[in-house]
Amino acid sequence: MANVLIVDDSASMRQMVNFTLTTAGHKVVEAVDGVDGLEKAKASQFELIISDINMPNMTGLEMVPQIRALGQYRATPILMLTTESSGDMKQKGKSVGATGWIVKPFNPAQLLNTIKRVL
Amino acid sequence: MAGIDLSQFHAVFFEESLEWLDVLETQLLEAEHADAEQINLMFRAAHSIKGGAATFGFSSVANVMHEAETLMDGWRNGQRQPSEALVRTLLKAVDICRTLVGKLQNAEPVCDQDSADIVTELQQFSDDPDNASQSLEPEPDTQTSETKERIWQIELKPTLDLLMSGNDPLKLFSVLADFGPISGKVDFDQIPDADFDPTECYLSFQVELVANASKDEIAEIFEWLDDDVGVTIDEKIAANNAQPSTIEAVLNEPPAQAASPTSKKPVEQPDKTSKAATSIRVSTDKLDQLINLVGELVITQSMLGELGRELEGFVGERMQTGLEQLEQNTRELQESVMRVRMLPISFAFSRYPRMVHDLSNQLGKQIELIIEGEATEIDKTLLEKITDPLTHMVRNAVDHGIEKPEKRIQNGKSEVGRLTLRAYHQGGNVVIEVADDGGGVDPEIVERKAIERGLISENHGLEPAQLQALIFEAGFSTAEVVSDVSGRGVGMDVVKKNIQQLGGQLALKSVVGEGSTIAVTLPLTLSILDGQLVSIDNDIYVIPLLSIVESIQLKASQLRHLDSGQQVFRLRDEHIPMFGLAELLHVDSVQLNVSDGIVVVLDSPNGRFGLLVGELLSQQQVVIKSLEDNYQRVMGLSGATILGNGHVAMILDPAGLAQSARGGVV
Repeated sequence: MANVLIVDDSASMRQMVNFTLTTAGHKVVEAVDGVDGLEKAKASQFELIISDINMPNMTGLEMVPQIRALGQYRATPILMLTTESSGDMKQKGKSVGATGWIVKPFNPAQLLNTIKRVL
Repeated sequence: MAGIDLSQFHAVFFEESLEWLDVLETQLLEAEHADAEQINLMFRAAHSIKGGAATFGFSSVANVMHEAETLMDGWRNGQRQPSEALVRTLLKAVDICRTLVGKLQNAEPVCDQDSADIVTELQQFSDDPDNASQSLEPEPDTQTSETKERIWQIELKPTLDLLMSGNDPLKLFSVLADFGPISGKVDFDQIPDADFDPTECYLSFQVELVANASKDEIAEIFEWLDDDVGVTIDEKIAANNAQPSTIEAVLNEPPAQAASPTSKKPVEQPDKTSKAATSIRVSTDKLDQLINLVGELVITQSMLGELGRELEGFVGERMQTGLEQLEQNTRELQESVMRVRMLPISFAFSRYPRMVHDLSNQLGKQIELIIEGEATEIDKTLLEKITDPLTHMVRNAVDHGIEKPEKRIQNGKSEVGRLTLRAYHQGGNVVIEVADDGGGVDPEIVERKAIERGLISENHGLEPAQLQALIFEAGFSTAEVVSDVSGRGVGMDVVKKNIQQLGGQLALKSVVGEGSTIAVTLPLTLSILDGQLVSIDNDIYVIPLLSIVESIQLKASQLRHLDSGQQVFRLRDEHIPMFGLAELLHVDSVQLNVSDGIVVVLDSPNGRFGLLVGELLSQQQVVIKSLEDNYQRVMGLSGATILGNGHVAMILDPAGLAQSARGGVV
């Protein structure tokens, strides 16, 4: 089972992801924005990072390259939470170093199915 | 895993959505002048609500926020400008969503139809309405239909850096294996003889899958791979064709058992794993009960303390230790409980931007609302009770105070009226001011009406200011036409009565043609203050941090003596009078030289002055206890507080100090 970092400014989204992953046996740490995410990534080692894009203080797109730049996360899967309507965000996420994306809205089963591609 | 009950996250979602709706509303009211950051904030608000609503299946809300988000995205990209009509419609959308969330919160039924009208309305602003409505329903779980099995050939030619993107072909294949049995071949040709780099991916794969999955379903698994990674997915029509002529290998992973981590155990224990919320709602009754109980506890504790002192011997000593600890704990408990009651006045102020916006539209006026001191903390009970009178005062200022644009221009004013809401601590009080730059209260009109209504006699002998204050009398309305905004003249007298019931004061300052300011002064027996602790001799005093400009050390040579005996010193370009705190408070036992102490420069309504104190101690928040209640009002002191060590410290009132200092100097 994996250590997972979830970065999202929405508490309900964090809780939902946290609960889903925790019940699936993963260990989850929550971060409330990019700054927090980066800090928590540095402080520990995660096997998967799931991050929202639109966040205060530091967006997901700003955070991902900085996490990639940390030696320990060069090849760690990082998934961005996007919505269908924010079209090119998928590719923007890829271009800053994300592994892939999860399209909102999703339910717990879809989330678990999706992360299997990298865990 | 689909069995997870999402409803456990609903409460957080509701709370979060209502907060976001507030943000959205606040920003919308300033939409015309919004900068990029504010527009982004609005977008994020709509986006977050939509995301959550869609996830939790509240499509009525999600649909509205989807439209709002689309429109704001247009602002962000500069494709669209916020028109007044659009802002109005968006505000309406905010209201509707608030109602919907409220209904959902109360578990009342809500359907998409409830928001259909506003969605249509919003779509009309959208440039491309066709594009606007996307499916926001959570995708249905991919259901395995009972169609015939197909054989798929999937070829994957990774780029060398594939692994560095976090993607791993083996894991993708193990997901693929969920569809059905897979077998495959790995091509090792690209592995270099020398300079092998383990972080690079030299292998390519050919995999055969037998499943009833569709091509799209399979493609989705590989969607994260960059375009330059070769992925081909073909259906094998005929049975066994030519085998690829490469080195053959079968994936070591036993495909059928490459089970999902999810199938391990279905856990349904929300309580153990879900994170505790960071805030909870508590009914005020419970809180008040808690405060009462703590009050009782304090009394009991001090009683025990008295008793304990009478005990002697070994038992007495132990009792004493225990009692001291109890005292400490009780005090901390009391302070914590009191702090729970304090709320920033923004809780009351936040409703006014919307109200003023709507009212001024309704009345055809242009009004700029300025809010100052919204972080000023005030007891929750006071806050609740002051909201209605305040609302009335604001309505009144908008309706009767500020003139219509034409009239303002005639009077040589800017056509945009200005309404200021201001809150601050003064002495032991909270002052809330509602100030407008409107026509002011004309004492002559008031006089005429008051006589008309029999409030005063013809030869009343009242000063203009006293006449103006008559607007607080029952049954008084100065507006020429009774409007549906402020209603009849049943307002200001009720306001006055409400505020007096809270132990507060109401003061009107009004200049004809220039505007009016109504200042509400409320007592603050429970208030908390950021204080700077200072000492003279062994006594500790608290100076409100807000009043402190700076603290300096002076040499005796820097002080000058005026003929009056007043000492002044020069701070940059300003001459500032200096007083000794000990002298001001008549602590005659202390003789402090300026070179031995520190001069704290304070701001007061009467100008700046220096206060000579012995030492600067720590800064901390203190709970203000009223002196009036426990003793009597003392000039220069706004209250007292009990410090962590149990000592009482007086809280200085810079305005009062300045006044008593001036009195002393003459």
